[in-house]
Amino acid sequence: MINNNFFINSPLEQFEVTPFIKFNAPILGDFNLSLTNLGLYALITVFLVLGLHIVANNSHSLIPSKWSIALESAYASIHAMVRDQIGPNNEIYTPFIYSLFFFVVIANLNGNIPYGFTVTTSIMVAIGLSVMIFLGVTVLGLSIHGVHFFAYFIPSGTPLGLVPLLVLIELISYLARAVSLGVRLFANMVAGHTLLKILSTFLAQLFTASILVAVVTLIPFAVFVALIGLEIAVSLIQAYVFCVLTCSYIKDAIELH
Amino acid sequence: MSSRFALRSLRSAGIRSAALPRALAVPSSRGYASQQSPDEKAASLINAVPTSSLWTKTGGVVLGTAVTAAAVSTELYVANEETVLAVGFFIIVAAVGRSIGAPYSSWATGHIDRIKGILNSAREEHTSAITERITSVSALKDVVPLTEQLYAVAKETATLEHENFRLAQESAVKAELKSVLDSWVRFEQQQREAEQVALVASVKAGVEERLADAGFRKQLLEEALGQVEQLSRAKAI
Repeated sequence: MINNNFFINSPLEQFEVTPFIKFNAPILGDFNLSLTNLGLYALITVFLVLGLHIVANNSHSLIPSKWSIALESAYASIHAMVRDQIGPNNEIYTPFIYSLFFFVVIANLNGNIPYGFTVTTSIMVAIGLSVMIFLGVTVLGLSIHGVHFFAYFIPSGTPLGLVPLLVLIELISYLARAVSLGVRLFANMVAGHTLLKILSTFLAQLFTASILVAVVTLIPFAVFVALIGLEIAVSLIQAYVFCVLTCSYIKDAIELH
Repeated sequence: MSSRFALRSLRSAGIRSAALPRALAVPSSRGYASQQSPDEKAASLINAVPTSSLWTKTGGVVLGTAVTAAAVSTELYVANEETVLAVGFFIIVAAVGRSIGAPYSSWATGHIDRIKGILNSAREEHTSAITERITSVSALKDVVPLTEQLYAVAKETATLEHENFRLAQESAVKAELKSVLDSWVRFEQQQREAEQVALVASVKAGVEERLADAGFRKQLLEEALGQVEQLSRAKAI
C-alpha cells in the first residue's frame, strides 16, 4: 500500500560520516579501525589527484597532451599566485600550495558527483587542514624571526597604553585564522550541497506528482541545473580562495606585515 | 519510504508512458526536420550506441533496458532526489563539456601543433646543420693522401735542399781552392818573373861588369875572331 505521506530525509544526512568496514579489537582501549565514507572519499581524492598527474605526465613525452596542457596551465596559475601573494623570492612554497589546491579542488569537484560524499564538508577535514596550516605558518614565522615574531601582534606606531588591548585583539584575530580558513570552506560547501539537496528533494516530489506538474517543473529544474553549475564554480572558487589565504598567511609570517 | 516513493513514481510514469513519447516526439521531429532526414537521424542514433555490430548494439540496448527495468522493479535502484541531482549534474557537465570542450580542444591542438612545429623546425635546422657540416667535412675527405703526398714532396724537397746545400758547399770549397791555387799560381808567376827580372838584371849586371873589364873584352873579341875564322875556313859563311 502506497501512502502519500510527504517524507523528506534531513538534507544534512549526506554529511554524516558512516563506516563501511569496522574492525574492533579489545586491545589498546577497544581499538577501532573503520573505513568510513570520509576515509574512502579522501582516498579517492588522493587517487584522483595522483591519477590526473600520471595521465597528464604523458609518459614524459616532449610534446604535451591536452591533459598536460591543462595541468601546465594550472601550474602556471598557481605559480603566478604564489609569486604575487608570497613574493618572487619565496617560490619554495609553490609545491605546498599546488598540492593543497589540487587536494581541495578535486575533493570539492568530486563531491559534486551525485551519490558521492564531499570530503571538505567534514568540519574535521576543513578545520584540520586550516589548523595544520595555521600551526605550520606559526612555526615558520617563529623559525624565521624568533622572538621578534611576536612583534606581529603590535602594529607599528601603537601608543604604549593601547598595546595590551591591541595585542589581545591581534592575538584573537590571528588565532581566528585557524578556524576561519576551514569554516569558510566548510560552510560554503555545506551550504551549497544542502541547498541542492533541498531543491532536488522538492523537484523529485514535483516530477513524480503528475505529467503536467512534471512538465511545468522543468522550469525550476533549469534553475536547479544552473545552481549545480554555480556549485561547481563555488568548488573551484573556494579552493582558490583557500590557497590565496594560505599564501597570505605565509606572507604575513615571512614579512610580519 | 524511498522505495514507496520510487514505486509511485514508476507507476505514474508507467500509466502515462504511452503519452509521453508522443508529447516529446513532436517538438523533436520538428526541431530536426530542417537539419536531418529521418533516415540520417535513425542512423546517427544507432551509431551512438557503443560497439560496431548491429547484433551487439541490439543486444546491448535490450540488455540495458532489461537491467534498468529489473534494477528499478527490484528496488536495486530507487529514483529519488539524488536521481534529479544526477540528471541535473550530467546536464551541466554535458553543457560545460560541449561549450568548453571544443574551444579548449582547438586551443590545445593549436598549442600542441605550435610545439610540434617548433620541435620539427629545430629538428630540420639541426639536420640541415649536420648535413652542411657533413658536406663541408666531405670536402676534406682527400686530406690524408694529400697530406701523404705533401709529406713525400716535402721530404724530397728537403733531400734536394740537402743535396743542393752539399753541392753548394763543395762548389764553395772548390772555388776557394781554385782562388787559392790561382793566387799561388799568380804568386809563383810573379816570383818567376821577378826571378827572371832579377836574373836578367844580374846577368846584365854581370855582363856589363865583365864587359867593363878590358881583358875580358879582348878575350871575347879574340874568341869571336877565332870563331869567324873557323867558320870562314869551313866556308860556312
